Amino acid sequence: MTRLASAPDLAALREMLTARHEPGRPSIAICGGTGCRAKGSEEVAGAFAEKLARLGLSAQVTLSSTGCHGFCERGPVVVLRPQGVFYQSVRVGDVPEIVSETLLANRLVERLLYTDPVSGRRVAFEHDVPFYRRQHRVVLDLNGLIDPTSILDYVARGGYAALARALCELTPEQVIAEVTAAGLRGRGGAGFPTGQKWRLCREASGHPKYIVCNADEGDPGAYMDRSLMEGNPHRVLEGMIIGAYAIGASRGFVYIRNEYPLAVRHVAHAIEQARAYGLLGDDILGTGFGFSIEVRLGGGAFVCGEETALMASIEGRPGEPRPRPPFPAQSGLWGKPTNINNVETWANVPLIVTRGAAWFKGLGSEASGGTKIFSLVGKVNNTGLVEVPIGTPLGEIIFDIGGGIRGGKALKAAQLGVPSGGCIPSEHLNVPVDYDTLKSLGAIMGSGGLVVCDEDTCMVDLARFFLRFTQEESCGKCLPCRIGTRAMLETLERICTGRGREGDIEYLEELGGEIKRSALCGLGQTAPNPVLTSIRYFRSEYEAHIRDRRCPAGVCEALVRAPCQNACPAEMDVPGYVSLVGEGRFEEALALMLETNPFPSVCGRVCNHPCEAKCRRAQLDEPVAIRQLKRFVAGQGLRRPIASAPGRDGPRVAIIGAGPAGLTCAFFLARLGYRPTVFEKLPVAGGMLAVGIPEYRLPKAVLREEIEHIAALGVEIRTNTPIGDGIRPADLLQEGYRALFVATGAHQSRRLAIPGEGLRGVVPATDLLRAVSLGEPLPAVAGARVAVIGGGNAAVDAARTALRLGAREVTLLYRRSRADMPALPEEIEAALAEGVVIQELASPVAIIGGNGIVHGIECQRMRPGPFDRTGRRQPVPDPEVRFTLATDLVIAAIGQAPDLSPLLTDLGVERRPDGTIEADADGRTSVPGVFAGGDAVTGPATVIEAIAAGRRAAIAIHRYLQGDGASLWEPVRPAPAAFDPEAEPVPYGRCRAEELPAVERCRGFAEVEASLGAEAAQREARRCLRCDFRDRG
Amino acid sequence: MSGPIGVFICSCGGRLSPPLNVEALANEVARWSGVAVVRRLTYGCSPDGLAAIRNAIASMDLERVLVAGCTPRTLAPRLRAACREAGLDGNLFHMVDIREGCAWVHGSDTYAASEKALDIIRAGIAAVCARQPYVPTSADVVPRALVIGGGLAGLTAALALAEAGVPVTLVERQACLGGGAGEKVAARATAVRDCEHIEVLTRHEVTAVTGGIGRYAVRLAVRSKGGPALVREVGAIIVATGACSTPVQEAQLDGGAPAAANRLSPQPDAGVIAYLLRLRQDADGFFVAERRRLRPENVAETGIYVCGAAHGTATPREAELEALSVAYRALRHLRAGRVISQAPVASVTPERCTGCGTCVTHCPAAAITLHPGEALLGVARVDALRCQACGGCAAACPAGAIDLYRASSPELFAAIEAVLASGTASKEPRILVLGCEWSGHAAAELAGARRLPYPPQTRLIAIPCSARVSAMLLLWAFHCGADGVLVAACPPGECHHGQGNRRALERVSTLQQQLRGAGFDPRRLRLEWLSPDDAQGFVARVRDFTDLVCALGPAPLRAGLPSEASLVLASEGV
Amino acid sequence: MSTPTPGTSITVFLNGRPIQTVEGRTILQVAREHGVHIPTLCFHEGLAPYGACRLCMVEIVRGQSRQLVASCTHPCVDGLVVLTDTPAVQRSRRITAELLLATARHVPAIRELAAQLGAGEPRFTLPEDACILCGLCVRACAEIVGVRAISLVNRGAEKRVSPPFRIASNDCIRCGTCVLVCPTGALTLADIAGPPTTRHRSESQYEAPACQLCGQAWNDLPTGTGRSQQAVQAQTGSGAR
Repeated sequence: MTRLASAPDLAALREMLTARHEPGRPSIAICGGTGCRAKGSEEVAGAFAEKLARLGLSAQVTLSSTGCHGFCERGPVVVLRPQGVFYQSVRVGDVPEIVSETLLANRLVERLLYTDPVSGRRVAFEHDVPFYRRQHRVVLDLNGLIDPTSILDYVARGGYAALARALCELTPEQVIAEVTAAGLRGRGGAGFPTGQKWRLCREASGHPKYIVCNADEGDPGAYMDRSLMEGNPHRVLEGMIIGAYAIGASRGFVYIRNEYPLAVRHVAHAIEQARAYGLLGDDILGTGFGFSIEVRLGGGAFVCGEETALMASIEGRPGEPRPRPPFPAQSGLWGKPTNINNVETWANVPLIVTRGAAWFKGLGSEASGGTKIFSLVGKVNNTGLVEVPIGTPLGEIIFDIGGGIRGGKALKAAQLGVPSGGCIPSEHLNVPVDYDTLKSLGAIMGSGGLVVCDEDTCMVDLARFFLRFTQEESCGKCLPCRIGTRAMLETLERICTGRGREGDIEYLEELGGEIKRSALCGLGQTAPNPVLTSIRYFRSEYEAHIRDRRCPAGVCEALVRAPCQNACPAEMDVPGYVSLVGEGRFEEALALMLETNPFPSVCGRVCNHPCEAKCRRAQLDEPVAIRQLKRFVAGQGLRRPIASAPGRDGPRVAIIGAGPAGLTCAFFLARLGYRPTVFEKLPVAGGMLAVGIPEYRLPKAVLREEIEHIAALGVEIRTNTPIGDGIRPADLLQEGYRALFVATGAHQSRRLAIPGEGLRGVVPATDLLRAVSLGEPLPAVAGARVAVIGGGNAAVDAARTALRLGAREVTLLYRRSRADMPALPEEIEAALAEGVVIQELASPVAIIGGNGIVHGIECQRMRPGPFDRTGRRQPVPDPEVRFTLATDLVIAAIGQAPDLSPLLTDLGVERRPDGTIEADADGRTSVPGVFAGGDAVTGPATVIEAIAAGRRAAIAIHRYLQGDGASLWEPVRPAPAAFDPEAEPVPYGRCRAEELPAVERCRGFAEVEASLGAEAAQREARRCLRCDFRDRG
Repeated sequence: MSGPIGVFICSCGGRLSPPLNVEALANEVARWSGVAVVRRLTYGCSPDGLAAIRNAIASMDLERVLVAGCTPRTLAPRLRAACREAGLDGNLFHMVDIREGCAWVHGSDTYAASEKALDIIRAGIAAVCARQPYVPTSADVVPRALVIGGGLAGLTAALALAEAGVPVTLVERQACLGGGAGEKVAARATAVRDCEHIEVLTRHEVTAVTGGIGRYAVRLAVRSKGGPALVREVGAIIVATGACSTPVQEAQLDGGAPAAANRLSPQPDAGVIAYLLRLRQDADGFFVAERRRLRPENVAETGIYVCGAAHGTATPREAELEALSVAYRALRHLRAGRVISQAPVASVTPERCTGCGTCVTHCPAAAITLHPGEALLGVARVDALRCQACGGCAAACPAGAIDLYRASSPELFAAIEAVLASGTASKEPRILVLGCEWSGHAAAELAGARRLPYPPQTRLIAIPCSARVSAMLLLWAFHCGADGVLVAACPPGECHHGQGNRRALERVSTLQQQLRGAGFDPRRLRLEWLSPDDAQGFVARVRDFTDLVCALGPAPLRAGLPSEASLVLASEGV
Repeated sequence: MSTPTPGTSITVFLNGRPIQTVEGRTILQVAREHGVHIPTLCFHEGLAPYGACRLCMVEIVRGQSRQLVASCTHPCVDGLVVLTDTPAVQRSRRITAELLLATARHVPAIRELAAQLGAGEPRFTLPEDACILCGLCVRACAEIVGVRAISLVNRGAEKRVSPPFRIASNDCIRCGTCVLVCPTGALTLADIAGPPTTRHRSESQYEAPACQLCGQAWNDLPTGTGRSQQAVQAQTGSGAR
């Protein structure tokens, strides 16, 4: 081993190493990072060595254990070069096959290849894996390429060239100027400009000066520093030596937490090597500059990542922060000027010196240059280390690199800089991830931990989780952090366990704000961030916990009996009736359903079943078929008249609109002893159920029967009775109706607002569906080419109806991609099976016609653009591509709005800008005695939401008329079904109901789906895991 | 007579007012003779305040400084350091407490508080003027250590010191090293034998120790033979003589087998070692570890340490840990190279010393030795580095030949006289509280800090230990006009200087009897036990005592009245 | 953030009043010398600033931005603009006082302070504990007395004032300085006469039922054997932890 006495020595060594390098020499790189080691990469490496030795190939093939590749989730990772074949999750048993197939025969082992979760395609090469393809790896470039324990590997790839350049060609001032010009900012979290920090330390008086590498990486889930130290320790050292030269420091420390044994080993080894080669110690490269580095181990206190606490720890004192100023640059270790940077910051320095400030600055955003490594974890398909230029939009990191959300769920928020960053909701996916933007959103970059949360994440619970971490890690020195965070945590605990109080949110905001302003160190100053940002963006979720004692995401155990029940807007006792079905107690199951929902038959057919989306059985195989079970029970003809309500002479209540909301309200009011009268404009009752949902999904007879049961309770339903000009709503109140419930729905189709809309042959979907339902005259559909515009359920219903009416061809035009269609997935599948053609990413721009008749429709091809407020890709026009679709009939289904004028003008009820009624969750409007619910309040929504609104309004009307303490009806509570906590879940999968074959369906309006049989239903019901027994089991 | 004195009155940022008017106090003090300058300070402890003191010392050539302000307990070190910086002998700086001791406890009574504050300042001036410059004692430390005992603890300590580069002499009475035996011990014994820094003397024992802190000359002789003795000069001595176990037959329990147990007892020669090294032994004969370091600046590190079973039962692991910890302390002591005592210590006036040896028996620190042959019976000498400055010797000496710096008889007499001076013109009774710094006076300060009011007739004088209280001091107080004297001492068993409080109690009881005999109501003298944190107790007892003294009326000696007490003084031969 | 040069004469603006002082002095020092009251609990003239109680927060103004800083540790620089009684300052102190009340609600000094600062009933409470961990006792023991008989142990909510290893400290000289500086009266001195085994700092100690912070169990033992040990007892809650 030769000591390098000068820069030319180093260059000569590199030349020698490169000369020895044979391009095309086969090599096998096995990841030796901590993640892959934990999954057995050392055994895999051993197996390779053994296999190669047995075949006598050891001399021809380079076998190396490299640093972390970053894709730890898929470990152990093996890369075969020169081809660059990428194998993931490699086990010892796979080794012989890899050697015989790929190494010797140049064939791929398919099953070990990475499968893209978005496209479903297998990817052979490392650079084609989407996780890597969209990254920009400059700091992590050599991770996975070189052997971290070999300084020669590093030197061969250009290592220490930056040091030679800095020492021999640049003055310290020039180095600082270069780093300043590059716009490098501290990667540890606070983002202070590195060049400026160095200059302050250089200019500070005092001697000696120290530099410190902060490798006390304590953020939960973040491991980029560990990965750098494990995978490429020399780059960190090189950065430190350059920094020491620039600052004029003679001694340096690497403060590593003791929980990183491999990093400690690699760094210590690298220091030894660098010293042996004369790159550390006295007279480095013959320049006269001397510098030494020592490793100091941290004991695992999170707060020791704070620089003043870290210095105290190095000095041998308790790791408590102290106030700044004085800053470390003025008075640091042992009172001397000290410069502290984070591992990643140091690792960036050699890049700047070799490639230049301009290159570095060009990588990043305006205010900060370079890249940032994120540790991407959470509910995302690809987790691992991700290096991207600073300023990359958050959405790209999550969707393009992370491969989107697991299980096709929706993104809710991203938590940056865990644990003390803030959450960023899906509406901000477009924001460039840089220091200043994040700050303006209330978050911080932090050290780069990025946790992705899906719709099943409770933001209150998440904030509590992070706060508990910081609270436990508080050093306890300053009062706001020690007691304040505890006060916040206990308040959150209360909220999460259903003991929240009015004013809690305001208390958290007030306290959190003061802690941020007054805490002593960064830990306390940032600890409230998760709480404050989640309040800022998800306040309603807090309110739901406090006011409704409800956890919308179904996470907080104390507030959630079972996830399915929690997910149901009507709070139906799902585990209750499912288990009763399992025991064959069908009549009791039906009675239990009717406690919350008078439309079990309807919901058993057309409900969008949010319960099934949350069903925990899905984690084993598939969710329980809850909707099918409901339909089965409701279809058994077991419905009995409800036991008579206390007298039938209570006050009269007027209900406007006989849709699901209105009828449900009437049903429960009748059970409470009122005499409700339902006024309906149309000739039939049922609202959208009657005139919006086609017969093949919901037979009219079924609907009629459920409405008759409601009427039988004493509800008067007056069809063909519009309220407005004739009977004024105000008149109703004077006629003895004590309260008014407005549930007029949203029947008005939105306009397309494109040229040609006025042509004959352009029909709103609602009009078409209503005409079919009521047997009114129809436009000529038979034999026509039909284009349906829109992607919701109404669009799909219209398309399938058109097919059944004999359309020659039906094309559905949707401006976003198919995955973004709001219609139920099973409806889309059914439509496709029946022959509907879906043109995704197509936006109509004009309807072409002649003689007043539609001939075609001109479309603009779209492509996914930036992320919009809902977290979906916003479609942007692809200006090059337009096409025209020949069509005879255009059905517009791009949304509906309530049509309330002139109904409510004289009541004086306040409305929102979109035309819906301003009402609270219980239906109270701005006018006492006037309640509202259903689509008229929410805009077009689901049946079950309308039912829930009707029930809540009935209770609110009862309380309005009887006082807050008024008791409700006597509820039916069947004896609970038996539950054996010891029993294993039944092993079989989900039952499927019979469906008509697609060809047959299109011939008419016969119901597509059949009901389950009794035996199948009972069998299916027993699949329930009985989450409601969590506490007792 | 003393040179110019500067008086600084700190207003504590206005927190003395009410009841004190600092400006008026300053104006009054400025009129007193001998006071060269009076300055008011807003915050004496602030950089500005310290600078003002330093500047005044430099510009006016002050020889003595008195600061009147808060309790000296917390800020005196800082102010003293400032005086030193300006070239003043730190011992000629004195601080008196008009905040906790006056302003904060007599809130409602402006007149009484001002009068008391002036008394306190007057007493402070009197005390500091009675002081002479002081030369601190120091000694060099010989960088060599002696370890007595070759068991696990001794071997561990010797190795630890040797590894740090300290030459060590290890003495063992037996023929071989190893003490209690065992594999680990054997390995360590080998390591000790192989170590070039360790001189191993088996079959040797310590026969004499001379010299003092920093340089002990230890005579080592072959055991039970005359032979030529070796002498080693060392700076640190580690006692690791271990214990020996003796079987003890325990009482037979019902139906149980007789249990044989081993009882650990000290080595047979523990008493010799204790005598030579002046170590204390407990009832069983184990050495008592040095626990009370008092104020570290007051007492120098002796360089003598005990570890392992030598001071009680210890598991091997405990012995080992303790040996390491002791070795570290020894190392620190040896590396320091020099021990200095800044403390005010006792000193002897040889011409007056009769060599009676009373002081030797009274000294809790074994700091006084009698050197025979120099005078009639001999002369007492004080090891300044060992002296704990309790003043017990000064109170006990029948010849007045020994006295304690910073609490000398002239200083205390002057202070008592001054603090009671205003009483001669006052109708109010005067109560003098002589408070032990460790207990009674601390409790008084705490009462001040907690602002618990007590009668303003009280005058406080701090003494280093209740042992300092002599009959002369008490009689002097009555002579100067005290109507009652309260001695506030540490509760029994809690004296920082061994038996100081017991001696004080003896003296107070004796004097009470003599007073009664002379017709002077002995209830005017009282001794109370007080914990340093017992502020409430202090207030209660002062109240109670004041009520009693008020009821008794003025003492017969007040205002120069000829009386019983002068008879007492006469009977004492004063 | 230029490197300050202590000793240079500078001007700072304290509540709008220009004040001559020297660089390096803390805001609290300057304010006190000019009669501006700033509440503190962890500051003592004889000790190095600590910055833990956060009651002494003041607002400093830099151009458009305002920032709360702890006046006991923030050094003055030329032209520094300090406001000691703005709404932001009052709010911060009020919240801090409320948090203090959450734990030391029966301490008269804290009640008085909270009343002065306008803090109402705490909206959150912890078990009563007079010790507010200002660290004065620990720092006084180390910096003034020169021994380190007590220290702050554990972290976060578990932080306590304790002798090393929670065993009565050999180093304690029972001088009472810690008690004297304690602003809440949380400390008292306890006389602990322990059996001889309490001397060793080793594993076996931790299981001894009596060698806890307060040593309650030993109080029944006869004292005055000349071997009494002293320890500082933080009288917080149940005593023996």
